[in-house]
Amino acid sequence: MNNSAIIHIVRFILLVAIQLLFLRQFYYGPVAGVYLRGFIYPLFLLLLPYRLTAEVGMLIAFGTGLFIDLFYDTFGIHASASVTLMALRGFILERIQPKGGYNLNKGLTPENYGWTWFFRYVLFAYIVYALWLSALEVFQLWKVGTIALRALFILPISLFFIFISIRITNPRN
Amino acid sequence: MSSLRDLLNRPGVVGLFLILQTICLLTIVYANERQGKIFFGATNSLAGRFNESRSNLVSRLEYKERYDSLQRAYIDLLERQANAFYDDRATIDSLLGDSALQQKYEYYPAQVIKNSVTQKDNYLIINKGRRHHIEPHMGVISQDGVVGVVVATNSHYSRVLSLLHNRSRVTVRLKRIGADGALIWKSRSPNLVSLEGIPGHYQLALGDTVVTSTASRIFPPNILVGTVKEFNLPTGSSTYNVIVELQSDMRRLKEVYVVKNRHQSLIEEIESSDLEQ
Repeated sequence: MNNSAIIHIVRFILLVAIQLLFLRQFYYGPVAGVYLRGFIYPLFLLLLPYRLTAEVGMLIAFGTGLFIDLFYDTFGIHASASVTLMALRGFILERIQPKGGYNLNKGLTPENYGWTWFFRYVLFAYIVYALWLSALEVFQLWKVGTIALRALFILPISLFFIFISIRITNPRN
Repeated sequence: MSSLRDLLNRPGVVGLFLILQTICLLTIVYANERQGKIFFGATNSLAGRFNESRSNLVSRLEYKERYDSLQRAYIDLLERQANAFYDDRATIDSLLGDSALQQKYEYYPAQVIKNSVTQKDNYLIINKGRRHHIEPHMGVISQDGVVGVVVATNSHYSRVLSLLHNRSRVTVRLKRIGADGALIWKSRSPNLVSLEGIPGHYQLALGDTVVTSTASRIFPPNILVGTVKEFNLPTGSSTYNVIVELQSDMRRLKEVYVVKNRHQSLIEEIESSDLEQ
């Protein structure tokens, strides 16, 4: 097992731990609320190596999402949103491609491609993720307003904790 | 968008995506109460709607069956009426048993598929024809009374000269006084017809019933036609002008019965031979 793999495994453990031990409290804890919640675990998926194929990415996302679902009592919802996120990750990366293109050996981090690029990456990815997640939670696709509102409220808290954690660790890979 | 198209061109990616999302969706609707209710509620209501329409269809068929049996019973009743028989006895002292009565009139059911009442000359089209033993010169009645006479047939349909037609002449009888006259449509009103040829020496009354006459070759006798609405005896005329209000609503005909007179040709033959002698 090489160095890079260990980084991702550790990141998975840390982000899932933050998600379940801390952020989940917004959902189930004393200050619980549907509109007061954030998801940081997708950051693990976003930071997976660029060279990872969509197929492998989706399988990893499926497993990660199911694991989160177990603790959120939302069987299948996080798995589905994560799979969609990873299916479209390549497309999102293509749209926000930096001038020099991507380096296969560099991680998808602000350290390598800059904060502006990283912000756009996370923002677009989270819009897809949050909309898909909310649509499955509401499950009545004609309630467009409710779905959009729920998705909108996922973004601030999620992005806040993502940027704090990236700022602190400042990962290269 | 090229990269999205590239993505869609990779069957592995699309296939895996669909497989994983199917698993997710199944998990979601089976393991989550809210989503399950919505999903199965929708499919149940779909199935419910299907079942409902099927039961509607079944009940419509049942209704049709019941209607058919009622119609058969009604025709049976019509054919058992005294006016549907020919009295075959040579002398009246023999017993009036079944053998003495010959069926003279038969009834065939039909539905009106086209009808007019506003023209100067009105016709009906019914949905039975030669295949169903319908021939020209047969009478058509409804449950409420006389409708018209068949004038043309093809294999499946027949054209009926309505009572509301210039050329329509039906021999009718004032039931109370027993005088015959001809029913002719002149008024252009779909429920009023004229009765001509009632001699002036009879005492008419408003509301007298008008029925088909025994002199009619087409209709069985004593079928209700209508009631006298107005009458007057013009000065210098020997016959009344009578306005008859029809019993059946000619605008709303649906189920009709075609009457076959088995003795029609016999009567015609004897009528024509009468002149030759």
